[in-house]
Amino acid sequence: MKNAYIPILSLICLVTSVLITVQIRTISQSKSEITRLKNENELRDEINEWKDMYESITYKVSDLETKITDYKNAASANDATLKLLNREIEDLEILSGLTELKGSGVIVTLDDTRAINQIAADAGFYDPNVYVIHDSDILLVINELKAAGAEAISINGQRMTNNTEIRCVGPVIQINGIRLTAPFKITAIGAPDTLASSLKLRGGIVDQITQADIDVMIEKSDSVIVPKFDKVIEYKYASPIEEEDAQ
Amino acid sequence: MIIILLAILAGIAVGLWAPIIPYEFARYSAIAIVAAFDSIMGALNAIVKNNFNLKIFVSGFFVNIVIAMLLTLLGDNLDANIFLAAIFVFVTRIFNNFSSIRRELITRYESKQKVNTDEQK
Repeated sequence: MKNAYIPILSLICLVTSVLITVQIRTISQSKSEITRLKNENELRDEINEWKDMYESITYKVSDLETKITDYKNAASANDATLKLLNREIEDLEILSGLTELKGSGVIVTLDDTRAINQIAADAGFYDPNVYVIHDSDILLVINELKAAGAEAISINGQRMTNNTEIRCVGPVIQINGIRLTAPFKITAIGAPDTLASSLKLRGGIVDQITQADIDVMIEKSDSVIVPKFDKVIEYKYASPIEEEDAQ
Repeated sequence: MIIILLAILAGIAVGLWAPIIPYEFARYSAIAIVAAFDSIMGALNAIVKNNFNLKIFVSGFFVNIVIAMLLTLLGDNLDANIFLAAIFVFVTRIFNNFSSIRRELITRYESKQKVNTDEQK
């Protein structure tokens, strides 16, 4: 009778050790630094702050741009050489992404696989790395589009310029310094059929990334719009070589 | 004793297999674990001192866990760190129980040795 407590005590030890094991697994799997260091509300406030700041700055930029166009028009109104120069400026602006462009092309939409919720529900846990879009996926698509002769490309409204970065920043992707989340809509101006078929080649880009559980949708269109690069292009370190320097 | 060890091993096995809990609730399960551990240490202390009462142990085990979790919930809603206070109390008691067990066992061991040496004389 003295050891009557043994079964109950072992049952309780069992319960406790289950709890401890589950807890350790939970903690070791929630490795995301962000969720640990900052709570949701703080992060939300921060996002709103940055959004406000961004909006006010974009407003300023468009304001200044209208001013520049006004000055340009005034200057070139009465001079033929200036008109020629103006045309050259237009061409260069297309090249550097400073004007909004329109033309035939394709819209490629990349989205995190929709099966993700199902997988998460089945497993109770899933490794999101396997199912989300990475910067490399987008780079592959962009590169292929360029190879197929795309003349202008934008991603979620961010124009691809010479210096545009496509970079993974935690759970989002940074393009032109702006953080973007899925779905990623890649708009490219070029020959729609060529662009679409180069992506769809057997064993090509689309095959590769659909295998990685990413939803890809390619849409051909006669008229797509690629927005302009909405930041100021500034060269701090690089300057063209003058002839005197070259000698 | 062996049964208890087997129970712990079985618990670890089940725990490795069971689904994990959402991260938001990790605080609650953490406090529950500390409360449970405290109850078990209390039980061991009572067993060593031979004044173990099964009803007190079982009721204490569950009531402590529930109260600790409810207090944590209350603390979260009031934005007061009741969680930390509860952890503090439980861990203090775990230490006290440990030292009490240790003292009891050492005293018993020493008195036994004394009896042995007395017999040898």
